[in-house]
Amino acid sequence: MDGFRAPDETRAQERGWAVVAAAYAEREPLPQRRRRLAPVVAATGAAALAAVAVTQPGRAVITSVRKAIGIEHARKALYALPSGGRILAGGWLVHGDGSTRRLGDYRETSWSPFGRYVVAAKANELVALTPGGEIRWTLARPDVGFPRWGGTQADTRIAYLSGDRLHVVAGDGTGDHEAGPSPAARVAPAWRPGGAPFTLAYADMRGRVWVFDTQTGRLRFRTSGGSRPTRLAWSRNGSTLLVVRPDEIDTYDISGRHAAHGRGRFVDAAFVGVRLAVLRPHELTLGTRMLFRTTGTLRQVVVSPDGRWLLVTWPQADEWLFIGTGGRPRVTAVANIA
Amino acid sequence: MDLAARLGRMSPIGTSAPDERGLVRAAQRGSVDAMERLYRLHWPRAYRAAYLVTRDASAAEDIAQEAFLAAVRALDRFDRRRPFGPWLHRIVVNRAIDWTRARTLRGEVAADELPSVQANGDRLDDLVDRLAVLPPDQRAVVVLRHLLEYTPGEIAELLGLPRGTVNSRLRRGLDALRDDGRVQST
Repeated sequence: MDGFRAPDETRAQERGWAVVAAAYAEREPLPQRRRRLAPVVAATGAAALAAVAVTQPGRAVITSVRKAIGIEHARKALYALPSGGRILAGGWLVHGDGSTRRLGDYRETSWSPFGRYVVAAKANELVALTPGGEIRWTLARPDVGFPRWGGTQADTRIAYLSGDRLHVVAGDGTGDHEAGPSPAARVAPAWRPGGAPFTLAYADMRGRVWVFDTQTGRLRFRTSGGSRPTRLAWSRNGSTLLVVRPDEIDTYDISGRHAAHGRGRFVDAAFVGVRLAVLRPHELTLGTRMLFRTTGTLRQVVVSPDGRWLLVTWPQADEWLFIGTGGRPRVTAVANIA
Repeated sequence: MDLAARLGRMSPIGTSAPDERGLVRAAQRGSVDAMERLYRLHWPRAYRAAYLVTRDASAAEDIAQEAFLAAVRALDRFDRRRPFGPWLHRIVVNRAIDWTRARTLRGEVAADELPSVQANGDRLDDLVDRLAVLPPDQRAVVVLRHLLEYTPGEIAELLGLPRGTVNSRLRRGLDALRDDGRVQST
């Protein structure tokens, strides 16, 4: 192919350089030493904090707990994120410096794979927008929920629920179609990272978890049924699927082999590297380490993409807890989230 | 002559891996010259690969541009220990495959209506034209193997496919090119 030239190659190259040079000129160059902003974390459950009030006995419990773990006073308000980066909380975007921006009247939001866009759900509408709140496109659908954006740098897809039907649409809003062989349960689907880019896990009404290629329809595997899962999550390298149910926690490899099983009461869980952070109603563990324990009820755990922090929501206390994953225990509590 | 040999080999890349890392580092720190050198180093093969898969010059130009724009956007996060070319080619080829599949579904243009590439003497133009009749998946692996000179293992990693799938697509593609070559065109 040494002699092969594509049509108009030289001029195409010059036209291309004009476009690339302009884009390059707009970027901010990487300084010599800079603490990278951690990419973003979505905390979709935080919007529910607004409805919670804290009673006096509750406050007493919280104070004693804080003292027990070394937090004397929670910060009164969110003025900086210990983890850096940005957090989506319902229709709000929280920046690393603590500033907030209201994106709109959305009940759920999540990030595009590389943090450039946000996908949001209204009651009857799916919306793609920039972190600045500028709407890129909308799709009218009934009862939209659990939008999740996956794919590669060059091509992306959004999976979401419309009622009990799983849908997949391209990142530019085209090609929306129903997907999945069975009516979906109301739990967020999860795109598999790495490897084949459009492999999706979702749960059906019978508690079965389906893993399939959304491009070809090819089924990778399906789990047996059970109680409705509350969380589906892939390990960062896409090799392991986590399925959290109220009374069970399971992991599967990509061929569907059942790798691990646990019984108990579970609220949420997430991969931190190769370890599992498991949230029970009153405690958070990472592998075999106890990271945090309370008499209050914890709601959700989210991992910072660099794996150094866990964000745990505590609606009763109207707090977010940032818990370090390495070294000695570090817990930073931020109050007045609502 | 073996068909794969007739498709030939690309000349070696003029820049060694450490030089490329230096270019990436300089581009990350704001050097327009370094960014332009990276661009000019990789543009030709990216564009040619996109063209050979899509057989559409406009689409190939868009795809190659989008790949470089993706590179600019991801520059700060790019790991300099990884080679730049394969990362770029993955974007190019996957986009080209997607474009070609979508176009096939839309039924815009039949493969035999596509214009042939510039003739370069001998039968290179025939070979390149015959690539057009391969399905996009086979075309892509033939281009990656014989234009961009990736090994089957590297192709498997680029496209996220099992190694066996890459080998079978390569085999079927080359067999189809050989068979087609035995038919006299009218």
